[in-house]
Amino acid sequence: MERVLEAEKLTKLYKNGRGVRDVSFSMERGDIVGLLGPNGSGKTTIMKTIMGLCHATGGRVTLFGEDVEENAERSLRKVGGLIERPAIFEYLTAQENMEMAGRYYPEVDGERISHLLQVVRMEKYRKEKAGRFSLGMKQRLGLAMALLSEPELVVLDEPTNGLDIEGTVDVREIILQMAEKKGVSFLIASHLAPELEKTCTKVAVIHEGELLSFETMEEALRLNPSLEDYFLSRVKDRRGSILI
Amino acid sequence: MRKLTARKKYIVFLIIEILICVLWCVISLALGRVAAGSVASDLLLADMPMSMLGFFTQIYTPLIIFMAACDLFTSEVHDGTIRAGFMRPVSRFKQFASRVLAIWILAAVYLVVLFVLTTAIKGVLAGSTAGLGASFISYFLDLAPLLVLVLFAAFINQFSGSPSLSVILCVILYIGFYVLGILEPRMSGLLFTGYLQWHNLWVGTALPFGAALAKVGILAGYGMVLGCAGYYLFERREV
Repeated sequence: MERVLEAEKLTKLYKNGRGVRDVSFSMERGDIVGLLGPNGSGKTTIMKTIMGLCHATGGRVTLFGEDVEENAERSLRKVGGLIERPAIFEYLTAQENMEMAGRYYPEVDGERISHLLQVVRMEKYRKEKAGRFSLGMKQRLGLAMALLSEPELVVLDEPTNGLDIEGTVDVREIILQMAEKKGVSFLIASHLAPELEKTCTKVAVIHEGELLSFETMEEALRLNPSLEDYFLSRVKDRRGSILI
Repeated sequence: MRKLTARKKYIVFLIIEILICVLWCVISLALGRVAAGSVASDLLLADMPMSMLGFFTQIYTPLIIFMAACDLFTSEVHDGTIRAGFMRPVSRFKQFASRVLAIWILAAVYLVVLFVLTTAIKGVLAGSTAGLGASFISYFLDLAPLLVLVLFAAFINQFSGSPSLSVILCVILYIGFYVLGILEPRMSGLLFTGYLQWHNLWVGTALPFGAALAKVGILAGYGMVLGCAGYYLFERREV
């Protein structure tokens, strides 16, 4: 199997001492990996470092064999991402935002843009300024922009953030179909265990900047009734009791 | 460049530039009338391309540059849209260079409009096309210090996460350097703000070769230092 992502002892520490330490895992073609962890556990930091938005303090990340830190230009060629909130220019329309993102890829044309706007159900809003969009609509547009270049690896940070039930189901369907039909790999960060359970083939549990476990969903659910139980079993020793 | 042209304020500022020229023209004609003859207004209008150049390269265009630099650097960091570029397969050097180039082109567009408009006014109302070549060369030469000013603005914009603070910082430092050059004339030759009317060194009285070379060196030095420092900070920026 082709290795699309490899993180080796990835460390990123901020000035306040928070961050992630010695995170190692790898992804192969077609994998849908869920990064599961509470708020502030370091999920976004891992994703930012993978996408070259942050510089690693130690360790390394390679995408399709290319080191992100050494050559972001080559390593990000087959990667799409949606980190935290969508990077959308509010003074541009949905169509113009897509065109702006498409400038980095010569193969992206108007047809591809229209197709993706249809996929995320934003076709009828293509001429509207993004500043007028709701959070869910921005999230849909951000997802379309992440998929624009037909990436082989897609990094999504809380992709269902702000989406309604239909939107959440749509995103899940898009991910599953792309992984199945085109062999696209997904790395998805979320604090919503049920959502990851329905979507992912592998799961990594992150807690206080450490990778506590990384295994297949099948393995995770073998001894646990749900991913939530699996997560709690992994963090039980580190989790303080709630005082009321 | 598209990000800048999509913002209406740059079109509005271009219209204001045209209105300033028209206003200058009206004032010149009015002064001519007051002086009871057409000689005074012809003189004022004949010199219009050069007299307007001084105002625009030292006051108006720097303000446009500071705003554009803020829009393409600090504002994008502030609202997270800079990620749209950082997550794409393009090196940060290319992204930095393209932003600098876009701001410089914007400044050049303002100067081109100014040149065409003032030359047209001069030709139509003063009936003179004399000095057209010298005017063109002057406008062209003044693009060089504007590039240094763009690099200065790009550098300053790497320090703050607040768009309004970045613009204020640029303006205050620019005014500070400018006033310092006036109060202490010896400093004027060492500050890049003293070279914004770059054409004065080349058009008309020619400088000795050695002195001209030194001034080119100073301006190029500012450009290199500000460009490298700005790029370094941009490259290390985490968003």
